Amino acid sequence: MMNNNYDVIVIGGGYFGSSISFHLSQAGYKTMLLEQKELASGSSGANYGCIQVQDSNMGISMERTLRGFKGAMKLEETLGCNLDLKEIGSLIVAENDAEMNELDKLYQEKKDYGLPVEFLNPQDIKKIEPYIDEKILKGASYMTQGRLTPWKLVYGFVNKGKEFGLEVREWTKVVDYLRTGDVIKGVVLENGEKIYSRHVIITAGAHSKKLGKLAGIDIPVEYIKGEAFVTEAVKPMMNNFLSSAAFFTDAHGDSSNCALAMMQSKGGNFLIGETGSIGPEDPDELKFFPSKTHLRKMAGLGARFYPALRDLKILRTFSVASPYTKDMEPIFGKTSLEGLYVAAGFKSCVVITTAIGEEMTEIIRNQDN
Amino acid sequence: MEDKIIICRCEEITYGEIISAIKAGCHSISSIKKYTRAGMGSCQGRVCAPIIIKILKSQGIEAVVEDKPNFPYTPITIRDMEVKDDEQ
Repeated sequence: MMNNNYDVIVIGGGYFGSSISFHLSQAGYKTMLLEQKELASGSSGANYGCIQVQDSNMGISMERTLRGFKGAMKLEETLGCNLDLKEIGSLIVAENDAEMNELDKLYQEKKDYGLPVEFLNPQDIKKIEPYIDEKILKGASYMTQGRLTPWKLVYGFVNKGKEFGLEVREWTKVVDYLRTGDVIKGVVLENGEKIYSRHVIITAGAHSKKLGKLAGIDIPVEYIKGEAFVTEAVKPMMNNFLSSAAFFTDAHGDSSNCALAMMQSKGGNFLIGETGSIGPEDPDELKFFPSKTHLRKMAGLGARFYPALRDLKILRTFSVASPYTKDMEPIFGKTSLEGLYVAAGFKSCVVITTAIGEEMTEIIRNQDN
Repeated sequence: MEDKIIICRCEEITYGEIISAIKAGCHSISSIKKYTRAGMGSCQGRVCAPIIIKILKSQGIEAVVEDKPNFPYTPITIRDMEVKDDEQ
């Protein structure tokens, strides 16, 4: 009979689940990572891989972001694999006065904090983005950051974790917890199998709320439908990650909102996307297709910023359940149930994966002592 | 089969690369796509996916999870997709 006893069970094989699993395994904890579908099959596999610093909330989030940024830029070395990691600029652009207003606040706050942000006028933007239509822009906040290929990071954490004994099971859904009163002692899988552990960590992004409900606790992580399309690969035409300051004027919740983000991937494909519409209550029921209205709006926005893209072919479209919390602060740490922890609802992800992996390992270590 | 035989013509991914992905733990069309880029080109796996399923089966992986087909069914330009001014 298999020994179904672990120090830690991690539920959710995305950025945070894989990072936490890696860090715990490295620290000597016998860890099992469970994923209901495949690794990186949710929002962690469908984003820009942007190592974003300048849009971080202030306070503890900023401390984590800066700590995480150092860790993130060394990840290829830490994990011993190629992640397509590269230094790249981030441009947050404003198109109108309302957006300029928000952008200016964001920029000042980061500048006062000491981040190396620069304010660019439309002519400066044109210098670093030759294909952009600078006439529609008012200005941008710019900072040198990084990017990597999202799923390579998840695989990187997991494969390195396996060297330290990490076990991973894909297509494995948790349907209940093992508990004695208010103490969580493991999980029950869909096939009835029981796995025991001293600690269970929920890192399931948009699915975290449901996993909380199973244990009778509220994990207030909501999600919005992120929609995107990918174009054919072409020569390098875009040098920076671009996002719209509209994210900050009416981010999250307003379904009419269409705030653009775009980047050219290492392979040369453009990824053009936006977040803004509400999905069904259960993220498992989210349709894979973006809405026609949003898709057409996104195409228009992309072409407005970069008119030369109009002749590029769209290869694929998709939508994804992108987690967030109402106050934009993550749900992170212990819960009211002993042995149950959460790490979900983070605003920027790649940049803080290592910081969160280290902090969670510390939380588990303190709990055990 | 020879390692250098091209399986995904759009992205020029070889048999050897597909086998490496399977050995690294990718047991589905979607994970092999993410790992190798096979199926990310203009045909979106319409040519290579059936071959990759056969390769997976030859490696003893029977229950292959197929990738979902997705819009658009054939590549269309951004120009064709965007909302025109006279539509608003």
